[in-house]
Amino acid sequence: MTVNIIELSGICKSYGRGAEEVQVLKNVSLSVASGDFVAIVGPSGSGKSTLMNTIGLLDTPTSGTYVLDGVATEKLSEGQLATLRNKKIGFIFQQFNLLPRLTALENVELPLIYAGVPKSERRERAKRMLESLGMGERIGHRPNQLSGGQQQRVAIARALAGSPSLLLADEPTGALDSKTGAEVLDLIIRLNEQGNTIVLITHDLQIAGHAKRVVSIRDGEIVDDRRNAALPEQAVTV
Amino acid sequence: MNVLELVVMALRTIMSKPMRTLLTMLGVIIGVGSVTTLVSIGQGTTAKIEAQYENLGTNLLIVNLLGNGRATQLDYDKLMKLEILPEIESIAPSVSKNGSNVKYDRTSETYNVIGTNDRYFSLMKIDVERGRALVPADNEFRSNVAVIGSEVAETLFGFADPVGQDINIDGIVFTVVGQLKSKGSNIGGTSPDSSVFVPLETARRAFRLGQIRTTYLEAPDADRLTEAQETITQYLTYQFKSSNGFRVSNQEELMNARKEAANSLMSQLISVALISLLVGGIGIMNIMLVTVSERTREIGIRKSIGAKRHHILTQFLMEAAVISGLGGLLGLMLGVAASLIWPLVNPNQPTQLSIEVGIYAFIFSVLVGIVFGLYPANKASRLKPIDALRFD
Repeated sequence: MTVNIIELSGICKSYGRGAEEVQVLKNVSLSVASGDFVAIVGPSGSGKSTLMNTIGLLDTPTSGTYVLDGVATEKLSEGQLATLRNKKIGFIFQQFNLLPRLTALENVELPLIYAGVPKSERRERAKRMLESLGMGERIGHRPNQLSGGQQQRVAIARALAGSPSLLLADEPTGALDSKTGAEVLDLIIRLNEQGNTIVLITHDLQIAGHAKRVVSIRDGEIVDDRRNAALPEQAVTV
Repeated sequence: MNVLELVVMALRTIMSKPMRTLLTMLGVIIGVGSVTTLVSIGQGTTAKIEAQYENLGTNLLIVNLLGNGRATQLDYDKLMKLEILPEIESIAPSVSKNGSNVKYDRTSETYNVIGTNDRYFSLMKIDVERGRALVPADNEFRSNVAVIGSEVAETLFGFADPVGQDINIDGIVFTVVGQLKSKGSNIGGTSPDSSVFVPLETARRAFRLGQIRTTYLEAPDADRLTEAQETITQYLTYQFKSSNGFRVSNQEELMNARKEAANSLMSQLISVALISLLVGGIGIMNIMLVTVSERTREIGIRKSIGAKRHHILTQFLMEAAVISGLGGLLGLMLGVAASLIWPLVNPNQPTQLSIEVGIYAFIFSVLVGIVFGLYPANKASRLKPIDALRFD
């Protein structure tokens, strides 16, 4: 039996009021099973960013229900949402979003600090996480001393540090050249193979082709939802 | 994160922009520096006043005659009879002439001339360096003899012995019979060091000084001071048939009055300095607002990975407190340095540093940071993660 990590039903999101009202999400329902790798694709303005913010608990829907890993989210306070983000979601952003004044190690420690993990333990965990992603040599470097690909690895390590139930990646290769982009995508595929549930937002159908399931969104509605028949066995090319 | 980690984090953040941090601190540095300096000057002044009165003893009463005319005249011999009372040890009536021209050989200088009796010197705890002090006979025979203060001796005679020499006071010749030891203290503007003492009756006649204006009395001990004060008040009230026209004050009252005057001036100056601390606080608030808007994206990132409102609030409050606390420490160092240098520039103005003041100044400066950091930190903590993340 598979457990659903994400259960969205009847999600609507609109901005503005009256005649000015713009509906960005129209009655979106989506379930993502544990261990799945879902790509959400759509052109810009399709509502995919709003959907990702909703899934990431960064934004609240106007109506509809969202159950994340068994927790109903619609009645939670700001602080409870922060805790949920901390424990259940690992964010991977297009622009990496590392804090420039902190070292790689300190960036990875950050979610553990907010989770209240004691200093020595979180230092150890962050270090191991960086090592497992091949960044063990650079734990003392600051983001501006690292290449784009290295920064994204640090960001992925940070996303994984709190052992979340869901990895939420927003155009993770968008700011990288094709070679490093392919490496990062490879890494994400490997993480899925290790059992991590992944939701990847992209406008690039080729990247989406590496996911197990592709959900297409257009004008705030899901227009297509299909499983990729077979994943290519060879190395990913972008 | 424990407090130490938060402080270290805040230090790292503010040190990434050292110039801005220093300029932000400046208001607090100047505020705390000037408060520290002023308080140490104030305490130095108080200590100095206390030392002066200590020097005179605490058994002293001062009677000032305020009125003119026959109704409020004091007869020397009648007054001296009060010495038989057990609560009165000794009495030294005095007259004085400020700005007398004192001349020896070709040197002349302006000094105060005080006409009094032999009791004066023991009463004021002034010792003789050379020769002798005044004796009762000087007054009885209205001799033209003078006892000079240490400064007078130094100016007129240098290191030579003045005893036996003739000096000229406002055209009248006096023979110096003694030189006093330096007292150093300075009560009410006149120091015995720069005074010339002559017999009371001689002074009254020679300089036409009229009646006794000031009389010093000494009680045998501090316990009987109040009793002596009551006795002399009753006596004068009986003599003058009125309780007006004279004032009897003891050392403590005089000391407190002077201390109060010094303190009120100080507290006004300190409140001005506190205003600059307030202005420093506003400067911190201003910069913290800039910092919060510059770091909106950072706040968004932190919130997206699980920071709650209180985490963000603590982070920014800590930065404001560290800026102002560090400013407070620098200001304290500046104030201590100024307090140590001040007496070198201005020898008559001692300063006194106290650890207490340092601790208060530091705590106060940290509080300034917290109070003025509250608004920016609260603003930062209220940012919605989604809005903060979109910010570039």
